[in-house]
Amino acid sequence: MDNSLLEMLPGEVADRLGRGADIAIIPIGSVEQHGPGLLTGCDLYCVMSRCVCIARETGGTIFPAVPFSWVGCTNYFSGGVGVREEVFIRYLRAVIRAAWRSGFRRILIVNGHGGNFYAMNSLPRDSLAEDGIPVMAIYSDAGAPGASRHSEASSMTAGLRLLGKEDVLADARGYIEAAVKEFGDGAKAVVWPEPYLQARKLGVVGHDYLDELRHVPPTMSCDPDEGVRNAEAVGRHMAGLLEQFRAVVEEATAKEE
Amino acid sequence: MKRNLIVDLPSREVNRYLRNGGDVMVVPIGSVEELGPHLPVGAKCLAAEAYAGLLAEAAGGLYLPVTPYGPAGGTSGRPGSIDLPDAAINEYVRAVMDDLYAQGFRRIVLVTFHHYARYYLPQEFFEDHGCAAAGVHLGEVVGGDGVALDDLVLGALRILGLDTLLARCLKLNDELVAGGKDFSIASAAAGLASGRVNVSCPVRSGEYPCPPRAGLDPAKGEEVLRRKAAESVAALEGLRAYNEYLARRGDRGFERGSWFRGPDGEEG
Repeated sequence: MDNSLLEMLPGEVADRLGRGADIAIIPIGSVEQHGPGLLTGCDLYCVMSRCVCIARETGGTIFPAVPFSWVGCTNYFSGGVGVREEVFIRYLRAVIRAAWRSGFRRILIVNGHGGNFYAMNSLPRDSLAEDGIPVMAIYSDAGAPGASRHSEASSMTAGLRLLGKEDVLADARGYIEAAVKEFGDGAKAVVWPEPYLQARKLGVVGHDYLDELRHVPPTMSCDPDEGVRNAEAVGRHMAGLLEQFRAVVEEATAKEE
Repeated sequence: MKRNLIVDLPSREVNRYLRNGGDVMVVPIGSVEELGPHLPVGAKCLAAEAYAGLLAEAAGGLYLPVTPYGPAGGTSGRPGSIDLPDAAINEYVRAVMDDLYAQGFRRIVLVTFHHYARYYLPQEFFEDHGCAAAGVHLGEVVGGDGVALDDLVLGALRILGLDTLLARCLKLNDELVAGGKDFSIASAAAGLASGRVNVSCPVRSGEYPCPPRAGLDPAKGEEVLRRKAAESVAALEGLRAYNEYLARRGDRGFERGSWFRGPDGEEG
């Protein structure tokens, strides 16, 4: 994969930093059930599609993904591998500190997992206040203009395509077709139990997804090329935001000094 | 099961694997660090990933995506070293192990280069669950066959199909060897360290723990990795038998001070 830190030689990393290519792109994935038809690595592949495109637009360095985060509601099903949110955040912040010590200055967290949404709200504040390190964290398409609404299947298969995993993509299509054949295109999950609906009127209450169609209903809407176009839109959008972020980092660093 | 990497399977396939008695999960743990000027900074990640894939395939089990960041030794702070303390890795990996156990995986195998993780994690996991996990140190797995770390890494690149990267590594190695410069570590602390003496050892710029050398042999690295993975299937069966033994013994966690020897010499 182009721009992958894992595949760079030490001199290549030093050269990048030496010419001011100081963007660290840190992908955040999850491993969890995504309905009957999508892969447990769905979020990871979705996020990788965006990271590849952001790196192409910015010359940023793609760090290895932090693979496991909070899973929560899908723990009812097999194949999810999760850690407590605070454990995930402590690990991520250690990665951020290490990236900063290595010389990366514009640190971008690219989160592909909805379960981390609220933790990502807090992360930039905590990192700056406690470690003196400014970070930017984005979720999904980061509100990129030109990114259309599209299915998770499209985004997941875009990631597989951009990573060159066409064999896994072919498998994924097979799983999607089998799920649609079994349940129907766009089949809905069973309704929530009435006691849960009553309790939910209070606010958030602990729950799981109960039905395997809840998280991602099966759909034939799967177009890797559309997913790639969306990832490219995110890449262009982030190139602008990361230019603006340079001033934030300079300001924070000046305060530090 | 079409594939062994869990993220390439839907939940249903994992469920089917567990329901059919599958319980093997290989957990590769890497690091991102400057080992040598001719080696990728993700060398240990790529080696752990390659071996985990081989082991899972040979055993008909599953493996996780690599947990990528680890301690970078003396190269902390260098551009290519993303250095994390042992404690951060252990907490994270231990949480993963507990989650795997909760859903039915019983033969959990850590594949790593970190002594700290491979020693303390399986032991503490056993004490809490009464289930034996295994910690594999990849350097030791191949060390007996005389495979150096660089050959192991380059062999892993062959296994992963990273041929362009392999060619870049070999080309740079040849150029650096021909140049005659010494890249080995010569810091003051290096001379103090031994098996029983540990000392902070900041590595100077331009020095590497795994310097370029003549006679690199990626094919040997690949051959030994493949052979060791195949040979380890028997040990994985041993891990199953051991866990069955523990279950018969009635272990539910490590009960402190439960052993005694009676006056007639009987143990219980």
